[in-house]
Amino acid sequence: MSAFTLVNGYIGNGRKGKERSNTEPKSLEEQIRLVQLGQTQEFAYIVQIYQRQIFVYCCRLLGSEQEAEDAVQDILMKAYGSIRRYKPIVSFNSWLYKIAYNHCLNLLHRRRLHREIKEIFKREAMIESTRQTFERKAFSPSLAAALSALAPEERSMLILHVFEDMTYAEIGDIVGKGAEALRKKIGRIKQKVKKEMQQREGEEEWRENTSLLRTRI
Amino acid sequence: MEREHFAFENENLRKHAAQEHSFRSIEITESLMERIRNQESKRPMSGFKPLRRTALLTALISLILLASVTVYAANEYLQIRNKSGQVVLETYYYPDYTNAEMQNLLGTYRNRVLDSIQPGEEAAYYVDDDALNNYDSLNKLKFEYKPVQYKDYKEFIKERDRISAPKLNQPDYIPKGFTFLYGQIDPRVPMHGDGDNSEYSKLMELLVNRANKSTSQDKLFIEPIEVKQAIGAVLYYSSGEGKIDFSIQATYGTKLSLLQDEDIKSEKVMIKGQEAIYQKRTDNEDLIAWYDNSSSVAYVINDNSDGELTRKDFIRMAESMITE
Repeated sequence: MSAFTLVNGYIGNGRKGKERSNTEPKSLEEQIRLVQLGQTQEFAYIVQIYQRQIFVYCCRLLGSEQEAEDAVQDILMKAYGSIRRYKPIVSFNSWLYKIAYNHCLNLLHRRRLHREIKEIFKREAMIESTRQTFERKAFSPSLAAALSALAPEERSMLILHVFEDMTYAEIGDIVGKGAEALRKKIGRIKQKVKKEMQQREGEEEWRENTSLLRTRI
Repeated sequence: MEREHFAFENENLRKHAAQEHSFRSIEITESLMERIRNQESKRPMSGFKPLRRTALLTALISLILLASVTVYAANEYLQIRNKSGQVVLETYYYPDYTNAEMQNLLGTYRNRVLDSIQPGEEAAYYVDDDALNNYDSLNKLKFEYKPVQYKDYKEFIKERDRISAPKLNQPDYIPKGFTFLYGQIDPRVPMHGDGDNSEYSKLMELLVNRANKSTSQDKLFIEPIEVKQAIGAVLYYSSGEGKIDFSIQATYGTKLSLLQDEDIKSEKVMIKGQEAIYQKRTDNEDLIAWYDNSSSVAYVINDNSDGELTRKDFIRMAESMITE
């Protein structure tokens, strides 16, 4: 029995309050409210809605499907832990992506530190970064190179704008910056990426791979 | 509408990336809900405590202290030597390694080992794969550790001292708006160069023998090891929402090497008689590093706040940590 069936099953068990049929789904806002009131099992509905899109976002940002899957678990756990404090001043989407954004940035920062600690004794061969490895499958060589030249925050803003198709206001809610400042910042990031890509035009032909490699440092 | 305005530009970028359907499917609902139910049954949900921004300790920067900071001309390749003339801190150029398939394979095994251990645990592992071991010849015996995040500073200090980690303390000066997030200890692992009859060689022998006797198809062999000593310690700081904005790490060693490339400007600075290297980076992940000869510990303060830390912040923090 899938978790989603359980959610619908609960509706049919005659709880107090608003009556519902077994086939009428609850809105996201209703699900959030129920979780906030202590109905833990309703959170499964939210997981079902968001797990894939957060996973894809993490894949592009972290450069590893395996690491992204672990990250999605942790991000949704954090969301569950904080959900009582969520107020619809920002969209739930932005609120959740903010948790994902911060979580991934922390991982990227710790990954770099971890690499630097090992480098102290030079006891490990220098390894190609995970991002560079993954990017050769998920992005064309020119875009991969351009992305690797960006800071993690810049990369994330670009991914949210281009691939998650978010507005500046929505991204602003996630990264904690004003929409106008973001418009300028993302504009500059795109210019940087465009310039980098133009310099690398003519590199090996890239074909989209349907089976992305799983990797991490 | 702003979405339409950039539609064409964004579409061009999207053509250079794998489509959403290319990523594998994911289904974590059951496992996540199980995790939540287990957590609920063990303790009440504590939630996330909002970080209180602590009042600033205003650093007493006087003209005398400012005068103690001497700046050398910016240079690309830098070296700092100890009294014996040995290089203890330097910058280096990053060599160009490839071979994506090998890296992916290493990553897969690493993930499996990490899945098999709990926070605070460490494991040695060996992969019975000649091609992989030829590629990763310096590290045929590998180690992984899953760190504990010490959100209580006193607990961090306790563990730091228990396991003889470098004596990393919170600096007296922390830039405005940042507070302690958590501390972490990095364990020492047995080393390749430890010699015969060392823990390293015994572990290698144990795992290679296990691999030779194994009739299973699985090439991965894991042995848990006891964390006896630490090699380093890290403190993480945040301006809020749980995001790491900067970190301070201390590691035992004989030499610290910092990456150098065209996007990094390195500069020698003198702080209270201690030579240090300050790096300004185009990705805003600036840092300052120094090597304490008396304790053989390398210190690095790393910025992860997208450039919120100024050069002055770095120097003031280092100043508040360095003793004359």
